[in-house]
Amino acid sequence: MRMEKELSDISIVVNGERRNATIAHRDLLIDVLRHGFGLTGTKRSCDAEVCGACTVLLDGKPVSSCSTLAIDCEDATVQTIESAKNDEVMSAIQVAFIKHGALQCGFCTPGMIVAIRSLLARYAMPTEEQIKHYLHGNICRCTGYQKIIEAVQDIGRILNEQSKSAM
Amino acid sequence: MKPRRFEFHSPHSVPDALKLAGDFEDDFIFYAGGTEAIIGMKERVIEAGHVLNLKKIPNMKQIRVEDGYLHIGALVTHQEIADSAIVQKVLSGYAHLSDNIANIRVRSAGTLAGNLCFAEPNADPPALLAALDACVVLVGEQGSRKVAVREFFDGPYSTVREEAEIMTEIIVPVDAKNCRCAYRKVVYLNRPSAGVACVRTMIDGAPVWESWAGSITGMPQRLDNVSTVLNERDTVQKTDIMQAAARDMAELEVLEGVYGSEAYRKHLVAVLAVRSAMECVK
Repeated sequence: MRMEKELSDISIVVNGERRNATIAHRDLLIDVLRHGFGLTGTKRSCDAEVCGACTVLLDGKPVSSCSTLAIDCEDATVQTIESAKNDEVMSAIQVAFIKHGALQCGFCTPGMIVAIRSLLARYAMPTEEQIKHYLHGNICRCTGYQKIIEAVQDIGRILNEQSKSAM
Repeated sequence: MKPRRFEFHSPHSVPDALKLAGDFEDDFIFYAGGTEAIIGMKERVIEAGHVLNLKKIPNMKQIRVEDGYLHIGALVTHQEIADSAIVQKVLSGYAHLSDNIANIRVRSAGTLAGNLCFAEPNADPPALLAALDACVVLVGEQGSRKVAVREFFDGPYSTVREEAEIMTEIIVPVDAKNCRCAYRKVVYLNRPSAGVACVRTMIDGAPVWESWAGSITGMPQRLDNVSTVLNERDTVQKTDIMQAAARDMAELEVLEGVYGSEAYRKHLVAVLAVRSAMECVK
């Protein structure tokens, strides 16, 4: 039972599903996702918008869920790593990560994959420079990034071939 | 970490927001992008019982050019500025700056107006906006006023904005045909250790240069000697500019912090003064 008086009911579309919650005005999106909705794929790390581990897409744009007020997400759409099971592009990014060994401890991976999902919405076939520019705020201490860049370039090619064959 | 408890309000107009600000006296903050404010609230360096969300106020999300001035609404994010065809056309140097602020998440959520109001000393926009002689519009109970960016900051995390004034837009003079501008920086983590902005404008057939440093003293700092050397020669001579920047930096008290030693950051200013000037004559 919450003791706070600043409570509101909010409705958010999370990974395509409308979810309702009673939240405190100071609640952060990451906590509502993890503790309210049980979507623990999103990770908290730096808590200061530097590392990218908590990246989710808010109305299609990458944001740090650790520093986003949940009450400011009323009626918004949120996409997290858990959407990979229904999102072909995100699922393909996962496959590319496995194929290229683009992860080791895996803690940054959910945020990294969500950011890449957004990168690929912007550039279907991103160059190495575009990948580095877009992902430089997602920190990985295991891979040295090269495997991640290779995975992204591979998925770019796969998606491009898929779209060509579908035409 | 969570912020302390607060009540969240979403007024639908500037007068409504100002009314709430009046009701809550000193116990409120305005909230737009939230990228700076939320971190400050989590760290408990900002404490307010009421958060006044400005995002529901219409007509503050526009980018337009009118009579030679670029108007950027207070709710426009850094990424929207970077992606704006208008800004890319009339002020490509600023679009480039905006596309390189912090990281993609900060650019997607953070607003230029919020960045200026928060007055984080290690920030990119102030130096270039000062060099361009931009101004901001502040609206309070007593009406609205324009303040030059060159006079807006009065120290780290401090501006001349009254607490109950809302920044509604940023206005930048633009003359794309006759003006080149550039900003170059060196970044530590997400923020610049130093940044230098350079503007070269042709006025009545003669070039006029402005060189300004940022992230050094807590407010944009005109590099008088660098600007003079550039105005006298209208060429970018590396050695001359480095020496002029050293003279500009000689007496300056540089903010302490994690962004490098004073000597290192003063050297960065000299190097970046050259790089930003070179960009203006490419």
